[in-house]
Amino acid sequence: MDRQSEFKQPFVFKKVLYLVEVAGRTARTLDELLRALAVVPAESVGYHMHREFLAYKFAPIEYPNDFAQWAAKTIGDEILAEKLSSLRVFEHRSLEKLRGEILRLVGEHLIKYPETATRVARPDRAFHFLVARSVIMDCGRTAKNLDEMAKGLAEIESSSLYFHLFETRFTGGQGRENDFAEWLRGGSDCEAIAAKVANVDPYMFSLEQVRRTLTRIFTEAGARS
Amino acid sequence: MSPTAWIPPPGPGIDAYRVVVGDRTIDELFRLAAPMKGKRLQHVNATRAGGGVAEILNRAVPLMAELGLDVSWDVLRGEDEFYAVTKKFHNAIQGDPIEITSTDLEIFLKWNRINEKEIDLHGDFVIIHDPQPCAMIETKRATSRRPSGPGQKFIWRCHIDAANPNRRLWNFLSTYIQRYDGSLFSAPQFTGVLPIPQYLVAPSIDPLSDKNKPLTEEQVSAVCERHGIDMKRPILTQVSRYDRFKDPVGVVETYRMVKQTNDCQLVLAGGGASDDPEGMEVLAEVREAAGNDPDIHVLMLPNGAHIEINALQRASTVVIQKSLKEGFGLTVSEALWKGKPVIGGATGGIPLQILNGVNGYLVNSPEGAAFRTRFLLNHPEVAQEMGRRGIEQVRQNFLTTRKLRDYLMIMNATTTSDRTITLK
Repeated sequence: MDRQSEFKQPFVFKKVLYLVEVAGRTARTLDELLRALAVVPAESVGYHMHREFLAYKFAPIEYPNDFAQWAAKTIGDEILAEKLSSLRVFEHRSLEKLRGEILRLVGEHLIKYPETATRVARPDRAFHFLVARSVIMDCGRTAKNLDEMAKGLAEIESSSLYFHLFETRFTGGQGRENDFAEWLRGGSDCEAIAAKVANVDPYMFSLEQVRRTLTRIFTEAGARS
Repeated sequence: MSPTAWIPPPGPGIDAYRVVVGDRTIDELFRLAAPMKGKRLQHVNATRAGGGVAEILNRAVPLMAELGLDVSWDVLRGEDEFYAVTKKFHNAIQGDPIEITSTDLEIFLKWNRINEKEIDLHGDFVIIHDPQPCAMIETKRATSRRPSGPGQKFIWRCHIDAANPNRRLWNFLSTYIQRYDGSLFSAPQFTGVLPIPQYLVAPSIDPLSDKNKPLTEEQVSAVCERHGIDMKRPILTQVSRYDRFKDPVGVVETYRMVKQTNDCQLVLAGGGASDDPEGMEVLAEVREAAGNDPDIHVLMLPNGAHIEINALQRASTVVIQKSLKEGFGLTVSEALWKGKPVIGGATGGIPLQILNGVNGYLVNSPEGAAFRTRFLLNHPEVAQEMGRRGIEQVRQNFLTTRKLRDYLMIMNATTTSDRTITLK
């Protein structure tokens, strides 16, 4: 495919803003966390797994999700924090399945390390379950070919990158690749680059690093074609 | 114009914020406001001047009007008996062990009913600020059964910490609050138990207000000169009213520990306590703790000394907010916005603003504050980098424009039950 060749469907850049509300559950122990996790809306689990990536970053984050951060910094259970950090989030096809995996992981951890269940967070350090309502907006920009995609990636807001890398992954409850890879699958002769784009792991990088990586992949693919 | 209506004085227009936050942020506000164009947004609160809520509305109302909303602001009428009760309510909601009597509740309802008759709650969106006017919804919504779909939307904005309220009072207020379509709180730990959506909207600072706008070096040095502060030597500053929860005496202790190894001056700047007996008592304690040390400047500033506070923060080497108990503690964001590293007590909303080791430090004791202060005085390059990050942290999270965005999102959200709202 030529760098200027047009795809059947243009890629529409969108972005997401979060309006956050409390989910009505708090936890001061891992036991309480487990019980609340079982009943909060699945979207709350998604919010706490990904929220940190949308926030402006000054330095690489120590733990990639709120559950791991709280386990380590408030409860002092670094083993659990490491396990929660290692979750392969997008291997789960829906937020319900992801929730099930976290419940299993924390539950088994409490059986193996029962002493950790006795640790109680200070009242002002309780875990507050939150849930977001998403406001999705067009960025007023589209990409019809690889060249435009490379330029778009370099310039769009980070909340747009976040939207296409995280927000849409569980759409429809089926699990899907990131939006950039999905779009490439719709083009001809793009399987190799689509696989490359799908393999970019947003959990290992900041949004700005992912931006650079994806821009490079699209720019190189356009130059080779 | 209704006698309760208040039109704030004009300030910088929305476009003036473009240089601070960028075009995209301002354009985003216009897009969020587009579906609400021409809708009547009505704010109701207790005062038109003095206090944080009035300060917020004086800026937010004209900006919302510029975004295309038909905004109005009504201020409650009351007499001393009402304000005495609402002051009690304020403290009791924040957990002070105060007895709330049936007479208190009757006075509260009496004045809410008087205001309900005088203020026409006409808005498509009515935002009622804080507990004082919260029962005005009484006849608009006779029961807690909230109508779905189109129609007037009522939102209660709680600016105070309701995490551990007086139970009797909260049960009483809840019978009114649960009739609203939604509520807004400043931080998750401030939320209460309510059967309505509780949205989180962090407070914000206005980068173009007198308290936060850029000042010239001459303005800063003139203020320092007036107070006998030497700008050539390190300055530690805490800006807060004289209140034990702000631990000003602990800050003097911190300064003394730092002074053993590093030359420095301490500025404690507070004000507005002349009619507050406890404030005057704490001020006396602070003066006693300071003794006759010429490097400790205990300042009692008049209300509205915004440029003075701005200049003192800008002149500082390190800003301290060593609170033992805190609401949100917005003076932290004010100092961060001026590019200063901030050492703050790990309480209330302070940990939401200070990212430990990134733009300042969170501490739990005078010793902790002293250790971190000494470190920053000995590593000015670290202090400078923290200051740079602080500006960015505030730009991203705690400016007026972000709060406007949240309000607009809430207006959009209350008109639909969909979890995801798509705007063209």
